[in-house]
Amino acid sequence: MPQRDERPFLGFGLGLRKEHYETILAEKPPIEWFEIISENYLVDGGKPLYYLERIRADYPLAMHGVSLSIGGTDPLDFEYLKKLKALAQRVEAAWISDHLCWTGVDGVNLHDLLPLPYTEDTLRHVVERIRRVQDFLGRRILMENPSSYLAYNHSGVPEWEFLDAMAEQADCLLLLDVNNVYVSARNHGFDPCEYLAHIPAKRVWQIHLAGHSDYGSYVIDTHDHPVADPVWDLYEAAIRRCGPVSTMIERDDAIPPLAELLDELQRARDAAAKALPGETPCA
Amino acid sequence: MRLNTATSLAELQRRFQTAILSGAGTAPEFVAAASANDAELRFRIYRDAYRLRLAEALAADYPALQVLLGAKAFADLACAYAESRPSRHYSIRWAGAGLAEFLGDRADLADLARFEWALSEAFDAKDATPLDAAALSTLPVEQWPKLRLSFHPSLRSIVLNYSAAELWRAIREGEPSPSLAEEAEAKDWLVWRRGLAIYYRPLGEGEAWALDAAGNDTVFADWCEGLSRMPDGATDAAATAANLLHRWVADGLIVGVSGSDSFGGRSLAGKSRG
Repeated sequence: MPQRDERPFLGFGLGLRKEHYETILAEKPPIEWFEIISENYLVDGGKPLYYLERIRADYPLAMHGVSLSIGGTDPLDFEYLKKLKALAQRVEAAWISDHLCWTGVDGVNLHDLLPLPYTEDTLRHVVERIRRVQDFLGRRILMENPSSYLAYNHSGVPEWEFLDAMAEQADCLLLLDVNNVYVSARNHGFDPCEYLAHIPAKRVWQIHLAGHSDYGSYVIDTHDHPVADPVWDLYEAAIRRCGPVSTMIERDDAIPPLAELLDELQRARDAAAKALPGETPCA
Repeated sequence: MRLNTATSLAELQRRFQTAILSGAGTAPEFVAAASANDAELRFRIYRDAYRLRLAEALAADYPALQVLLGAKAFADLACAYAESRPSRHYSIRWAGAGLAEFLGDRADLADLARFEWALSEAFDAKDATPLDAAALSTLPVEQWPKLRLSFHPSLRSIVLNYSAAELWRAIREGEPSPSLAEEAEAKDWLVWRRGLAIYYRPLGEGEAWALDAAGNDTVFADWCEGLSRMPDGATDAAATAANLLHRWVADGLIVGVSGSDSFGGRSLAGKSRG
């Protein structure tokens, strides 16, 4: 077992998407790990679990959820958490992540990652819930910084300050989505480098890269394009700040053939190597 | 950290959610923005994304319905559904569960939705290994009256008043101008999964009743007797039942049979092949 603060390095991975199942099994492409959307595999049987089991035989997996609603005000859904924990045991997940957001209230799930006001009240609320989730799962979780398109009048502090305090108080880990930092910086007019400079580097166990859609006055986190150039620059800055961190590319729409994503993943390897000259992280 | 708790988090979330679900064009007043237009633009990103996401999920579950209605009408349906029947499940996979009911007064479209939903339920239902015919033939005939059957967890039986299954096949095969026709009388259909493949077929006379009875833990002798009392009169109910049983095994519907204690409590289950 690694020491508590020893950050595992899985290398460079991709989001597992059903469009690539057959290619992965047939070609065993050089991808060091996959991230799965946890909810897609919280089913009883059939194709999702059939492919998951076979792909897991060849690749490490990390679990990424979208329904924890850590900032939600409904009670935590322990039925969901029970299934999440069972899946994590089944696939021996390297870690479990979700988002700093809320997804609905009064029993409704809007299936979106909705922004939270960054106040002292929200911080207390989120920290308490992360602790309970971590106690239940028996492991620390990674919380991801979301993309956001609006902020609240009474939001008191910048997101990075909130994340830093949250991670410290809840003793959780972070999934740094570099594209989300870029998207939110453009939408809210902050400096993404200042954001990165304040992230508690040691707690960042995973990095997300993804493409977005640029509408000029605002940017949307669509995951349907290759990673954009300014996001590659930010990624290098993030690696310089955090050191070698397991990195993966998310593509959820307009999903290209796997070979295209492998090329993009090579670009991530090259960018990380450029950011950390002399270091050759081994997966 | 600066404190400011003008609105409680729960109240903020209720107002946010209500504004997402309503089609109304105004952003809640707690949205920080340079102008009312800016606030509306920002809030609309979430409002539109919610509808688009639900529409995408419904399109994945109801591809034939989407073809039949056309893109515009399907998008309108998805939008109305998203507004009035928001998901209450942690996974968007179940968000479309209420579409057939939502289509209530359009019985033809509701039939197609029920058929497509049955297919989607079969897709990721629990796995089980079907019993093979050879295993069944090892059971002595005298044990048959007390047989109880276990069915594959993916099995769904539905009643359709319209030609939804035929329409689904026609759309899948790319036939031009498919349409839904009302049947002379309601038909029973069976949907199930074998391995990773989904199957469907119409049920024969008495078969729907027999499946229902056998699925309710009724022993072979009892549902045989029930068959003999059917109005269209199975003259040789035992032979009819035996034929059904063989057909079910051949289709991979049965995953286990068990006898009673008087036969040593012998039971058979499908054997997994690795």
